Amino acid sequence: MPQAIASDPRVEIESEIEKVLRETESATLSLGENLGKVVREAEQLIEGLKSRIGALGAQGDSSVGAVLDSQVRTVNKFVTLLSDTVGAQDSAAERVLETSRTVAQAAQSVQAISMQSRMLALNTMIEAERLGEQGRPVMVIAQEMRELSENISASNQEITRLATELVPLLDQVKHNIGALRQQTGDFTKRFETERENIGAATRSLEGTVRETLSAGDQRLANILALSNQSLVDLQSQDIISQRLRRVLRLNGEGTAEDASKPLLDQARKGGPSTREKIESGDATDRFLSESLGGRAANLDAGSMTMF
Amino acid sequence: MTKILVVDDSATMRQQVRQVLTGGGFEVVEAVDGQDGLAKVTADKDVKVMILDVNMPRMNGIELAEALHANGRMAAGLNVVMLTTEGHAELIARAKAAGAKGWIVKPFKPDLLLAAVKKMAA
Repeated sequence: MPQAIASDPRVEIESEIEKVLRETESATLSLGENLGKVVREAEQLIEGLKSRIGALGAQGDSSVGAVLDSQVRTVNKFVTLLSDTVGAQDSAAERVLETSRTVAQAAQSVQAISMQSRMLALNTMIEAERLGEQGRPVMVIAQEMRELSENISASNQEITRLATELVPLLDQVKHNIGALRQQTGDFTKRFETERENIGAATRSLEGTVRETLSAGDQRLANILALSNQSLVDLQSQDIISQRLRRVLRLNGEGTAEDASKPLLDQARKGGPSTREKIESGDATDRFLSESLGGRAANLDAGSMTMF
Repeated sequence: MTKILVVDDSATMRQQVRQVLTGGGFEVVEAVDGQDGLAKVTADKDVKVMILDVNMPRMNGIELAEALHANGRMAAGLNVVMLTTEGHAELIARAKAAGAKGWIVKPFKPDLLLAAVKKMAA
């Protein structure tokens, strides 16, 4: 059971101030540690934000818009090449179709010539028959002419058949190429429209990200500035402590030390009192300048002089 | 990593200085008064810069600077800057005569302290 503290007001003041000093120092250290963490976290957050989503808000060649434009240019080149190739195939198919039709017409002409040759060979054979032995060599030539005409006719029929079959196939090829050309054209138009939409959305996204980063930067900068200022403000605890110790010293001057010390011991809670610290050399209550006369302090708080 | 010795009897001040300097890439060791500071700097030759409070028990900062000047440690490359609530011209003159390189009045601005230490550590 602690003894009642004698009601010497100076001792009570000293005891209270001692407690205040201990508690404020403890609180200040804790605040300083936490504020230091806030500053470090804020700095890391800024760096993290910039590295993670900074590319979205970047400008120049590395921006999303620039990368997208580059990809669009590549696709455009491919589509143009495809369109040109399809156009060339369409033109080639048209020429082949025309050639096939020409071949079919030529085959019909050859068929007529072949028919005439056969008639001519037949008439020649009749005349050779009439001439008897003298017409024999002519008969041989006429027979060969007839065989040649029959062979030409057979080949011609095959050519005509093939050409006739080729025409609808080529028509189909031409139709398919036309459809491909149409689809390529449609794709180009659709792609152009979507590219514009994507471009607009990307520019909007880039702007939003830039604004967000900028606003975040500003707010974090404000947090940092305020936290740093608070850290500076915490230094006042040291200054206040020194002044309170001086108050204690002034408070104790002229008192009967022997009488007050036992009371001080009773008032003590925890470690040694400020007075005991001062007396044992563990604390100072004096400003060095107090012992100096003449020029007063003339430097502002926070000022720095390098020699 | 450059080693800095902070000598101050206030735990709050030592914490503030330590946070600023470690954030600036320095290694920080601490001493609680002039005698402790003298013992630590004598034992550790790697200390490049010392930040000294003036009003401290047992041995004040000016006396510590004068001791370091007398034992030749400052001439051997140790840089000292004073960090104090004091601003008396006579004290500043004593510190300067003892070889201190600067005088900063509390509460200090972190960027100024860091700039001063970087300059002295270079």
